[in-house]
Formats: sequence, C-alpha cells, structure tokens
Amino acid sequence: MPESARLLKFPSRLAQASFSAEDSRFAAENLLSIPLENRTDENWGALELGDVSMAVLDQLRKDLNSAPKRIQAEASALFERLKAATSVGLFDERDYFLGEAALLAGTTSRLIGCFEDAENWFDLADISFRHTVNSAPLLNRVSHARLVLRYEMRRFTHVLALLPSVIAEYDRLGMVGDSNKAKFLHGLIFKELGNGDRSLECLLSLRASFGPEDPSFRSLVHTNIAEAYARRGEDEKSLTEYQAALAAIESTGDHLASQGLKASLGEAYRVRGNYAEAIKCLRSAVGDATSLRMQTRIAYLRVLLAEALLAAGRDREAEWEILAALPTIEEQQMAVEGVAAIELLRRSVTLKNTDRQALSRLRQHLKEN
Amino acid sequence: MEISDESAVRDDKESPFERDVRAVFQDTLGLIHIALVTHYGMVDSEANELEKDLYLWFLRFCMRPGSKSPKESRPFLLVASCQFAREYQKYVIGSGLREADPVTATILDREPAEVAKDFSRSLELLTFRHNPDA
Repeated sequence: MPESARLLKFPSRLAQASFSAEDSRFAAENLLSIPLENRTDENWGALELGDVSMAVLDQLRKDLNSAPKRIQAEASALFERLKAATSVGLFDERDYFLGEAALLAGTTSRLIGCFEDAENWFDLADISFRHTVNSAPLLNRVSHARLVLRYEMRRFTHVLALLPSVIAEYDRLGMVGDSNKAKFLHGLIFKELGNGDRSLECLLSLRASFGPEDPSFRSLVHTNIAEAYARRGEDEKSLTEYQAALAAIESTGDHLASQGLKASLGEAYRVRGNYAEAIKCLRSAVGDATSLRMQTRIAYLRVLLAEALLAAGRDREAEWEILAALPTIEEQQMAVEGVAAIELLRRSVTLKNTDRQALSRLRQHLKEN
Repeated sequence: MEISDESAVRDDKESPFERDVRAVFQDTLGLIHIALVTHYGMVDSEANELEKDLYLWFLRFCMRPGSKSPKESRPFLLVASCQFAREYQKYVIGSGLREADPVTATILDREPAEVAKDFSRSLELLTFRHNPDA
C-alpha cells in the first residue's frame, strides 16, 4: 500500500460510525476514569473514533488549570497512543489530534515548571499541525504558547518583539478569544518592562471585550487591573476589580487562577496592615497551589505568608513556612542572586530570631526571578 | 442528493451548529459528487460512502479552534474531498484493483488543493447564480 494511502481506512470505514456528542463524552469520561497504568489496548482503542478522540481532548482541556500535573501525564500518554495507532479518525485528524495532545502536554509542562519539556512538546505540536488542512490558526496557537513559555522564562524583550505578529494573525483569522489572551500577555510584558501606564491601558481595553465565556481568564484580567490600580495607590478602584475577579472565579474550580487572585489579595491586605485577612488569603493560596503541585509557586507563596505572619507577630508559624519553602527555593535555584539572604535567613530561623530584612530581600529576589 | 442514511435518524439530536454544518454540506454535495465521480473516476457507490466520511470530517473540522463558519469553511471541504478522492484512487490503483485511465491519471498527478481551487471557482459561480445580489 502506498504511504499516502495510509491516511485512509477505506477497507474498514464502518469503524468510523458517527457518535453523538453525548455518547462521545461518555466514552471519553469512561476512558479517562481508568487509571493510566491500568488502561488496556482495548480501552485505548476507543480513540480510533474521531468523535471520541475529540471528546477526550475537550475533557483534558477543561481540567488544564485545575490539575496540570494529571493532564500533563494524560496528554503525554495520549500523544504516544495516537502516534502508535494505525487508524485514528479521518483524513488529517490523526495529525490534528496529535498536535492538540502535544500542545496540551506542552502547556501543562509549562504550568508545572518543566520548561524544557514544554519546548519539546511545542515542537511536536508544530510538526503535527503542519500536516492538517487549514493549519494557520493551529500554528498561531503554538506560536502563542511558545511566547507564554518565553514570558515565564523572563525573556520579555523577545516576547515583546514577536507578540504583535501573533495578535495580528489572530485578528486576521477572527479568533477573538485567543487574540484577547495574547493582548493580555502584551499587558503583562509592559508591566514587567516597567511601563505601567501602557500595561494598564492594554488590560483596560480587554475589559470591554469580555463575553460571559471563560470566567477564569476574565478573573485573571480583573486581578491584574486591580494590581495595577493598587500600585498607583488607587485603592477604591483596585478593590472593585478584585471583587469582579472573585465573582468571576467563583464556582469554576480553577485553582490556578484562584491561587493567583488570593496571593494578590493577600499582598494587598498585608501592605495595608490587615494581617489577619492577608494570612487567610495567603494560606488559602498555598492550599490551591499545593493541590496543583506547583512546587516553586508554593515556595514563593510560603515566603509571602511568612512575611505576613511575622508582621502579625506570629513568629513561630513564620519559621515553619520559611523552613518548608527553603529546600525548593534552593533545589530549583529560584533566587540565584539571593544566596546570602537565604543563608542569613536559615541561620536566624535556626536561632528562632527570624531576620526580617533577609526575608524581605529573599521575597524581592523571588519576585524578580 | 442526500448524505448518510444513518445520520438521518440523528436529526432530532442535532444542535443548531450541526444543522448549519449539515446545510452547508448538503449545498456543496452536488459539486463534491461531480468531483469524485466525474473527475476522480469513482463509481457512485464509492462516492456515496466517501461522502459520509467527508460529512463526519467536516463536522469535526468546523469545531476546531480557529475554524470559521461552516459556510466560510467550504473551500477546505473541497480540498479535503479532492485529497480523499485522490488517496482513495491511488490506493485502489496501487492495489491493482483498478487500472488508471488517462483522464484519472492526469488528475491524480495534480495537487488536490489546485483541483479544489478550480472547484471553488465553480462554487463561487454557483453561489452567484443562486444569489446574484449577495
């Protein structure tokens, strides 16, 4: 059989019977309910049907932010299965599903801090999408994902140079939701580069374009606007934006957005001297980050929490938080330039006399890195 | 001309989006059938089977991120039809089940996207005839 003919499954086309959306969702949930290590070839065989593969990807995408570690494992396994399968979906669908699985695996790798893995997955997504009909929107999503990764790697000028073309392409393709997310990244880059006015301008322009969909993203934008107002000392406006962010995030179960929001709120309370509320928010943020297993984020949040606890005169609790955070900070080299502060802090905590200046310096290093 | 026998029973479960996709597919089906039978030399029964797969593919294609409306996605449906037909005929001829006549051989040598482009022109003409004021 010629290589190109493998695209088709004509001798067995009956296998491509159509599933209703409901049946596909049921089949996908069924497959995903079986622990990865117990899944048999027969279980995985359901992926041959394009409707089921599509429903599996939808399901994984839905849980992306609430369980990135699990979704990373699922998406990686899905990719390997699709790659090994001889018959998946119709026409270009195998490549499309492979691309989506790789994009998911890359995004979740980024979320859990495995940046090199994320880069490799984005390369695989790119290669797979190239073989699909109408690859332009799919490839632009990969370019966008790569820029988000570079943002996390703090390569801001690089992102700033390339982001406008990704936004322009989204706008050309009429992909409003994705375009908004890229514009949001633009706002974050301006903030990181110290252009607060431009950053706020970007974020405020997004507020007008929201529909009821994607509450997590809406909450994230409101949170960032709140932070921008807080930096300007416009507390009233900041509070209004935080409330909008909280309203949007409620009931979504999105721990990723929720921990970010609670951390920002906690910091805002701490700066204003409301330590009890600050501690409450930051503890809750640590809880959310812990459920996501975001080790570096947990360490950072513990440092913030320790500062609030110290300010509230709860020194012993602060020491516990610091001692819990330091191993990750060192292992992951989260504050390479803060080695001296870490050492000072460790000694002072051992002597039960926490060095507040060292803690504050460490927080600053972590924030910068 | 109608698509899939089995899909007819699913009409009551169809979402407005699916109905829209089905309507666009149905509108384009005549042209697709001509492409498959007249140009790619498939027999009617083969074309009918392929059209069922094409419908399933098109429905899922329209759900992909960044896909435009089903109507705007029609050119991609034509590319897929030509690609499908080409691969099928290559498979059948390659397996020795059928011999390629010169007309089929010529079209099989052409890129499916190119052939689809010619059909897209026919589609534009068809749309114009149906709705000259559009």
